[in-house]
Amino acid sequence: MYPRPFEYRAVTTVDEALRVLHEVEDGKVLAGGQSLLPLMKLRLASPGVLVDISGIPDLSYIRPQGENAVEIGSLTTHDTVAHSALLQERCPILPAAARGIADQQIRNRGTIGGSSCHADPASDLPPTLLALDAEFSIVGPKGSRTVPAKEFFVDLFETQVQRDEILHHIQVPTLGPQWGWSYTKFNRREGDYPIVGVAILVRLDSHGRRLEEVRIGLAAVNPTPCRARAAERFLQGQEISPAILKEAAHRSTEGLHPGSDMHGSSQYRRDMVQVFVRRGLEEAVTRARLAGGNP
Amino acid sequence: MAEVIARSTEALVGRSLPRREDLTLVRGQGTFVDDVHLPGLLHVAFLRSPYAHALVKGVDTSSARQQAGVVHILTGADLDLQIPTWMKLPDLRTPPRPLLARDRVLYVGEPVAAVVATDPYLARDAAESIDVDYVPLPPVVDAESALSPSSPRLYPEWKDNLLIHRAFRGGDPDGQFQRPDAVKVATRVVSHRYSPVPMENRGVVASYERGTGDLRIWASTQFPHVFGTLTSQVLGIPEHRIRVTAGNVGGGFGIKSAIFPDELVTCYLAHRLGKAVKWIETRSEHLLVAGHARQQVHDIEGAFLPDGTLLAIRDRIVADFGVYGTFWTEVQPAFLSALHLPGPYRLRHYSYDLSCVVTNKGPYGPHRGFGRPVGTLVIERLLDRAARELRLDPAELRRRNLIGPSEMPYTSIHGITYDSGDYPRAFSRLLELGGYQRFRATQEALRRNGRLVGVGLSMYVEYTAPGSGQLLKNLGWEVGGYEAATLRMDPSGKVTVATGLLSTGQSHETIFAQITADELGIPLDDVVVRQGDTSLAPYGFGAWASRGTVTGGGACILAARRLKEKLLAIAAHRLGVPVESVGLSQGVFRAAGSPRTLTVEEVATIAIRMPSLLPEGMEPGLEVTARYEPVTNTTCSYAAHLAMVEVDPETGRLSILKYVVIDDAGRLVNPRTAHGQVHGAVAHGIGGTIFEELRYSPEGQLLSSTFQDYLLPTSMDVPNVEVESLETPSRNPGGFKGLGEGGSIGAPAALAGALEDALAPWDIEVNETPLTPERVHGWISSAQSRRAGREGTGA
Repeated sequence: MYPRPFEYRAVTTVDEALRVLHEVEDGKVLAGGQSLLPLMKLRLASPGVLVDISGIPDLSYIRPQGENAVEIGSLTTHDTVAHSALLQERCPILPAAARGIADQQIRNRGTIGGSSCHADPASDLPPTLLALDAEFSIVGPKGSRTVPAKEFFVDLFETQVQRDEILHHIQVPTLGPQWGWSYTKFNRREGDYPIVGVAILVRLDSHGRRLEEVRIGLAAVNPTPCRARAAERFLQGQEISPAILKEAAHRSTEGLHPGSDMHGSSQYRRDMVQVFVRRGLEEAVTRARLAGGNP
Repeated sequence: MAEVIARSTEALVGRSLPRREDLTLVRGQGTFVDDVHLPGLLHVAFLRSPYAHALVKGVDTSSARQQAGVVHILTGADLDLQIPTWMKLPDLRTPPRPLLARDRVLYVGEPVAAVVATDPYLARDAAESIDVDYVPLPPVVDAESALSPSSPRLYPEWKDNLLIHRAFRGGDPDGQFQRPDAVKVATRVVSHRYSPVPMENRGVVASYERGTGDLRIWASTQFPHVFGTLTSQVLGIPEHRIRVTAGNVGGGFGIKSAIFPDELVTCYLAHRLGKAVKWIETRSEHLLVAGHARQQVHDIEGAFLPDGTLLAIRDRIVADFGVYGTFWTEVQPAFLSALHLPGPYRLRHYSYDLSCVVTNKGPYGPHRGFGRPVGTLVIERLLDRAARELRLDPAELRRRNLIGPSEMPYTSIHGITYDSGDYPRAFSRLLELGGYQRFRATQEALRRNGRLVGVGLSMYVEYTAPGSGQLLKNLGWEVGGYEAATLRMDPSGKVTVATGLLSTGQSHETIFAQITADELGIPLDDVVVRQGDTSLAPYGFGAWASRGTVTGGGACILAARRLKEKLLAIAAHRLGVPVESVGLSQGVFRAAGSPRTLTVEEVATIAIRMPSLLPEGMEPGLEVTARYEPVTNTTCSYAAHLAMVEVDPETGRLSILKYVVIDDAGRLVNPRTAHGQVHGAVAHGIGGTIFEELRYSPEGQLLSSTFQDYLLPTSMDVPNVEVESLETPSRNPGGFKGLGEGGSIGAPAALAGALEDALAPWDIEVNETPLTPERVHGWISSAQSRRAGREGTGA
């Protein structure tokens, strides 16, 4: 539990952060420290310079972006996301996913930006942001750019954010009343990383019978958080029935390559994806029907 | 509150007084090993083997020695010391237990080199830069395969991988199996490897003073005196120059009644360097090397009469000891699995074949329950199979086989005396409090709605506080079964109790004060309990085998009686009345028919400061040491457990709906602290049965070496545990029996039984732990395919 030697630089502005990251050879951004520090203590990660951005005041915020979106600063903690009235009103799946992350102490420190950039495929927020088609705004020496969620997560623990860049904020859409959602996860104990995590958004027709649009984000079943595109395509335009949801659950494992670990083998994860996609769809549909007055 | 209670005239023993330990601990004012800071303290880090089995061709420390802060580096080449055994059985092989690996390594985590540096970070950095030339050898990871003649061997000088082989035969089991009316039931039960995992890891601070030759040791241990004796034995330092102190200990659960090479190397380094050094174990180190236990395979068969009467048992046991057992307990945990397997059930014909096998895994250590959790799991699985086979209610089958109160004291087929108790009463109370019949009635309705709910039952008998004779005769164990207490009254009439026992959470500071104050007749606040310091307390063997209250409490009672006798004699002399007429209560001496009184303080002042006022010839002073050796060869506690669970058929995940324990540990000193230990032990059992697993890869790598993979139960996973006590007194002073381990003995069997009951519609045999969702899901899936197959073929 003793990390290798490292240099520590605390910065207070975005510009300073970028300057330091540019200057040093092997800098690594430290936000809430809830993933990076445990890896360093186990000597699985050994950055030369920790650039602590947690003291940058203007990266922690949740604010409306017009009527149709919400912008979330990258240093916003999971706890703040979990209790945000604005997100609860406009994008309730995100607070729901944040509420289930680890434990209260970790939610007090861990940040949405840190979790996204760490890109652990078994985290709760990345599949949720994927299902939301969130947009990631990255700043670097050459200015800023915006990357859609589907391109943001590149590989295991790897994102579009380059070594000399930082994630500035994330934009998520306002979900209208025709949308239903669910975030379900399966783990051994409360607060553990999911064996399978499933973020689902459904949009129903005005009668609450047909699926106009479905988005399914999956955690812990691929090297990156991913979407169950085959199941999404299958469900689009379908009339809702138990058989349809079951078939979609079956198709949701297409193209998945889950790894095996102590908590679940690859095959078990595939089986659990089916269970939790079906359960998640049922929950999301129920919620959409209630919201649309079609219970 | 304590004050009010202390002034009451009621007896203190038997009351749920608040724990004296709590205020210190909840305020964060406890002193654990890592809280010990000494001037010039150096820090030790170990380089450990990354291989399960390899030759060590060379250890190059040259670049590590150049690193900042490095004071000393020690390798196996510098140190030819071994840990001996305390258990002398002629047929027990004792493998070499080097303090640091020399020419080969035998498990991942084996210490290869130790670095001493000025801070723990630098020590770790330097350890990482030591270059070891390993030549990997094929590892032995599975105990059953290790028995094959073609298996690689751990110890080339042995002809196989057996630590010991024992065959036992009592009665005529084969004859019983041949009876025409015998119904035979066979099963295979696989218990996995897991660990007690105390909250505080191990750790040692050691300081050597060259001037006096004194070695001071602070350790996180369950037995400070034994720690001192073994250190003296291994390092060759005179024992009277060693002082071991244990402050607060953050849990032991067995594993701190073992001593490992890393602890002794730390003491060695202090001695060799003439400095103060500290080693604090990391969690991953702990999971790699400490507390591995429970891994056994049983191929068991039982013969039953059609009415459920158990006739005979035959068992074949393979216990996976990893690289070796510990110097202290060696192969005892596996012996006790077999010995305790019959539990509270009448069994007159029993045979087993036990192989204790070495593999390239961490050493097998003592773990709360000590073999019994596996024995209990195995027999209860067998009884449930038998109930199913014979179409009997599992509760009824158990009831028919329970030893009755009229049969007490009962001598088990292994010669263990079950001294007292009423097993059928505990069992029927369990069914009543657990709502067993009611549950059976609703279970069918729930099943029709697709709900998989089940109830599981288990019962065990645990011999506690074994006596010296039994330890030496049966186990060749050079360990005393007695315990000592020194009571010292000071001139103000206050009493200090010193014992060589050490509480690792069992509330000794509270309960020994209750016992002593009661026996003396003085207020509770006038007694303080000191423990954990070899220079202060009489030699003691420590807290293990659920022996503290029986042995330590017994010693407190005997010492208090002797001290009181002297106090009464002085009081009678001063009051001028016969000693028979004097009584001591609430700190005041009163004589029948005399208006005069004396306080304890007045009498103590005379005894210590004014000895000329003592009766003629009486020795001054008020200090008594007494030792108590349990009267029976064993004192048997027992308990009955009931668990109700529900299984999610789609995921295999288990939830515990209800958990009930009826416990009989004789007279309880403090019911609240006693029940707290039952709760904790049940939590331990739940963790071990459902969540925790030391799982190795085929290469012998531990896959669960952090808390991300080794899952402990949290408050969300442990249900409310309802505990009720029967109190059948033992023959020991005070009527006490041992208690601290019990919950973890009953829990695995009750949980596995409940799961099997929940899965009864699928006729699934729950015969392997841990009960992970994936394993349960696998069982359900196979049962579903079997059924689909049958239906498909029209069978």
